[in-house]
Amino acid sequence: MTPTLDLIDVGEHVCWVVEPHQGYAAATSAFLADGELFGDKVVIVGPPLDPAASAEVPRDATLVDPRSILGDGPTPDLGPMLGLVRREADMAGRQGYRALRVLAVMDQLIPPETGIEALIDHELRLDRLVADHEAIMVCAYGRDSFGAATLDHVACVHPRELGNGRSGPSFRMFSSGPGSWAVCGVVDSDGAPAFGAALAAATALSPTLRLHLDDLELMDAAGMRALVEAAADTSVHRITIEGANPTVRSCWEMLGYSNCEIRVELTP
Amino acid sequence: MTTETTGVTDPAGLRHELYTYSGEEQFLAGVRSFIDDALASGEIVLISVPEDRERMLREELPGTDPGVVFMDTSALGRNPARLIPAWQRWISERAGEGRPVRGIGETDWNGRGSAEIEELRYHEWLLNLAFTGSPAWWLLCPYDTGTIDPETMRAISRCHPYTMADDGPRLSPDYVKEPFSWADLEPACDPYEEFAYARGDLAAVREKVIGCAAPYGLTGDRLRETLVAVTEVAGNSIAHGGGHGTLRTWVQQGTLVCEFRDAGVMSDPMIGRMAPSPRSLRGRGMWLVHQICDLVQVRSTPETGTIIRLHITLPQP
Repeated sequence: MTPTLDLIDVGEHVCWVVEPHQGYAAATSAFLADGELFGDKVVIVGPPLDPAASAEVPRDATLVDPRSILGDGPTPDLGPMLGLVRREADMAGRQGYRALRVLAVMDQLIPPETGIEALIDHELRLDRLVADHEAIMVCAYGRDSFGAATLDHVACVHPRELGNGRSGPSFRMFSSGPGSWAVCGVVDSDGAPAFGAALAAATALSPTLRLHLDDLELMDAAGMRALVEAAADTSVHRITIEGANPTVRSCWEMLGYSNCEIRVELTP
Repeated sequence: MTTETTGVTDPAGLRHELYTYSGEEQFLAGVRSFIDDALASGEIVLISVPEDRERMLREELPGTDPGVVFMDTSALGRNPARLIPAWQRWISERAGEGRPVRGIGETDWNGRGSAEIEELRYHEWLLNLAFTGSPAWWLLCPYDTGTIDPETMRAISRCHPYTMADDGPRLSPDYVKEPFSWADLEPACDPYEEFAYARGDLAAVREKVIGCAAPYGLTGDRLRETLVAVTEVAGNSIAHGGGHGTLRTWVQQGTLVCEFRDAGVMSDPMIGRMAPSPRSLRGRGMWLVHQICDLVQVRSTPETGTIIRLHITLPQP
């Protein structure tokens, strides 16, 4: 069954895992048509859509060739992509649109050699951006272009995920305000590397961090080690934990972290 | 199955002494003489005994000497694996006072099943290893022969290098410096659920445990703690035990048992029984498991791989 993308609201940042047989054009038609219906400015970062689907694209949609924003450097620079979204989101409001609606075909945007840390960093920055603007962001990752581990990791840093046959990552981390991030689900040894990479990216954005754990069920020793290691980075001032449930708190104490000089504070 | 490390740390580390007694009067006589000797030598005595024994000693020692300290054991629970780190902590807290330390450690044997008794015996054996390199100290282990069956008592005797005699401590003729010999694990209680797991299955492992535990009223914080423990052990299988393992769950006598089997080997007999070092963030998973579970059984050899059973006491119906 093809997932629908037409239930996405303003402020949402969605990871869409696209099956090989599915293709992008048909499944996005509702998403694009909704852009016209709701008066959104539509930007598609990706390859030109096939002729059959082009009729679905709103007349004033902007098609961006990924090659035009990636640059020619030996390592991928995703900064221009963020700049594009920020610029278009700012302009969309001034131009009278309700919101900016972006579909990014990541297969075309992300070279295969891109490290998972760079991807997570990019997606967290996008999440921050979407949270701060009237925007909808759909990041389409082709299942045949990215490995299962990569898809698991990038899905962790999207508040929402669409796609067939996936149980989804064990945790998600997403923006909950300036310098604040919500973490929900379960951080276990499967997700700890992604959690560590997400924390590293978040602390790069803000050396003083607040993590809201109200919807986090549990965090194992590997997850807590990732948290402690992130706080040990010399650039980090403090990580404040809010809303941790009694199990997270007691595990933190059992592991001895409450008695160590660590720049992590669990607030009552 | 045996645990291969052997050794007795004497005289630099622990002097591990067995005191067998019968009844309250003999308990008081032996323990009192141990305390009096310690105080006469200017030593501190740390006491960790069951509640009724503590009450008895407090009555026997009115206006207790500041050198006699009753330890708060309320947070230790029933898992014997928490006793060694507790003694290590208590002794290190006293080390700054510069006085030699003695301990009196008796465990409450009431209501202990065979799995717990086996782990208590292993704890006594491990004490001989755990304090290698520690400052010299002396631990008296009183055992009431009226409450422990003779076969268990003989096994306990083999773990104590010293025994208390009428004329003081002496080398125990029963002590055997040998690898620990495990009794066979009890068979899994039938019916049990079985689930093979591999990388990416930690969520499924948790679901299986929830499915077994929830009908017996294990919910809320205690269920979440249980899920942390099973996540740790299954994660160890995946990371260090050949990438996969088998989970079995069952309930017996008011206890949820989660058994994990994998191809890995845990060669350190002290795994999870030493408080985490601030210098290293790794190796804390099994420590957490021991802190959470009411009992942990670990059996590991190169021939058989590793079997870990986690016991969680279920709420009373």
